[in-house]
Amino acid sequence: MRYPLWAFLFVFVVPPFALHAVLAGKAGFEPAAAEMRLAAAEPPPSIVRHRF
Amino acid sequence: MLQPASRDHDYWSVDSAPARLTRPLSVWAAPTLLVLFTMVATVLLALISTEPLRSWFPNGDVVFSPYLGVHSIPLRIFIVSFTVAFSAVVGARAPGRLKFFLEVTLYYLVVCAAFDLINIVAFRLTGFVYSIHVVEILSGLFGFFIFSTRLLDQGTMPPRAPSAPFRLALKPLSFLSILAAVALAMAISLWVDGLALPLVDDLRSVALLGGTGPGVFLFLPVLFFILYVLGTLKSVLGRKRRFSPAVTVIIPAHNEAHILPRTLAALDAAAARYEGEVHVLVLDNCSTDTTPQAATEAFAALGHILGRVVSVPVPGKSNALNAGIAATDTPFVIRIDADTQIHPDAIRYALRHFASPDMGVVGGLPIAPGTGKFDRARDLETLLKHGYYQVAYGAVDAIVGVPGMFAVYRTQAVREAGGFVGGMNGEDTDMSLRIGEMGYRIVGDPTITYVSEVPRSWTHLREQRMRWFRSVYHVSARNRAYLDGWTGSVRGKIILPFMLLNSGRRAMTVPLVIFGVLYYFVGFNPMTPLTLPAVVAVVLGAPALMAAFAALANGRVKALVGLPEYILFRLVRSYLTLESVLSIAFDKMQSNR
Repeated sequence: MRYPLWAFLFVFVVPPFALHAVLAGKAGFEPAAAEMRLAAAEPPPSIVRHRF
Repeated sequence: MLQPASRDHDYWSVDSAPARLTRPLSVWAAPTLLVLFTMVATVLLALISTEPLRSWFPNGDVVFSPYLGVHSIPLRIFIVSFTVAFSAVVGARAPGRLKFFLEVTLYYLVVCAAFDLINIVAFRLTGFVYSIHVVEILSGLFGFFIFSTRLLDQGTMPPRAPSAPFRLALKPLSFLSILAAVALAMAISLWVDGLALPLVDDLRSVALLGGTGPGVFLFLPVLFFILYVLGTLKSVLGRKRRFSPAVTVIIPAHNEAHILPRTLAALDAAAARYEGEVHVLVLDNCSTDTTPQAATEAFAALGHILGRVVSVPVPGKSNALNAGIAATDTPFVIRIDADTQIHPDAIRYALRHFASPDMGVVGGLPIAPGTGKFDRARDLETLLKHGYYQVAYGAVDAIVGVPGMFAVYRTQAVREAGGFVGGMNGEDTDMSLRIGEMGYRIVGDPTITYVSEVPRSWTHLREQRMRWFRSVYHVSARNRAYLDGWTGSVRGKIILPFMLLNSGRRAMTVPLVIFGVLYYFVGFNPMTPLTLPAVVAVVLGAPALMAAFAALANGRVKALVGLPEYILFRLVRSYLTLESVLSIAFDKMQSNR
């Protein structure tokens, strides 16, 4: 079995991006996740979720 | 005496486009792709702007996970549009085109779906949610990488090398160093972000930085600055004041009579300042002009080099180079191109790095002659790439390519690596990559300078860049064991994949500009205020700042006058990258995997 090329994305790209995004305020932990509204009912800039 | 300068068509050689791996490319292929791309993107953007897709995806892109804010550009739609257009024009037969389209699209779908799923789960469990900016940027990076890796798999590529020599030396330290540098760069960029400087707000408001905060835009510049400082320190501390063993200079030459005497005269001047012996081998590779005579006459007139002409009757630069290595009996060897005039201190400065027994390759900084229309842009390009990034990569043992215009090798390392490979583009990068993976150190030292040819015509520039930009695929295919083996190195697991990703990014830059303009002016999404500034920032702002910084770091203030040309040159370069990937042949071999 060979080392998968896509591991580059999920090991060396996404985690540093996620960490940096959190620290830079481009991502965060929303304590009231359950209160998020559907996209159609509440357009941006609030958190957007889908009907799916 | 110098002969008249070469005619425009003289740049073409057997190495320009390896017959098995490339196809002749019409100048209309890329424009056709761009027209197709514009049509497909328009249709897809229109579709997602109409019901029911509009209410399913209110911000105009196919993102399934929760997100914060409004996005700047729907990169998932962009990637799919580009894939459709590229697959229609790529040099494969119809089944091959369909296969390429399906593979890229399906891989992209799977990776984006996996990413969205992770985000949905993370949101449910912890409330973690990205800004849509981050989701889109990551989606773009996924697309660039998947495009390049599928091309690597499906395009006609060189076979895997029979061996992939590897030694763990330096590799763990390299991973630790890059981790520490990333952490420090994050801390500094976020600290600046917290200062809320008025200058930063001003820059943000004029959109030079695309409206992003300093915590984002400062990260990469700070990271490279840290690595640059570290790389410079390592380079300075690792070399001795004097180290001057005998060295051999090998010069492949095919119809170079017009320039060779000048090249040899520059070598002689450098040899005069060097305490060791300098042997020179001119490797006459099937010349039909007076190259051997010109070399012989120059040797007779020059007093500091010991030179001879070696006839290599089989065409191909790698054949000439390998003949040169076979004829070399000194522990160090310098390869230069026949049109490279080295600085009088170049040999002296380069060889002192080899006082360290683990040094394998040393490179320098190419300087443009200053007489052609691309020279000012080229100077900034080399200052950024070889005077700055290369030094930074050296800090973490991650240099991949040392250009063959001027490269100094430990002769034994070249032999252990298997010699120079032929029949593909990028034999110089292949060599330095393999030597680095063998556990030797590689250094890029910008104090070692040399004047190297810059194309003077558009056709020559096209030939050169298509050759250079294909090389990342050829080198990756041949050395795929470093990518998909279980050996760990920053070079093989981070930098080489990043180079593939970056090649995909460059190939898509011109379509991305078109996409941004289309999205902005057609007004598919009135809720998106930063589309054009974001595109301007990607295309102009950040590269301009980095190039300016690289010029200043190397003390070349005058190079800054070339900044506007450099920005345009980058766009040309991106277009040529697109042509380069289109020139890759398909259907000529079985699977590369």
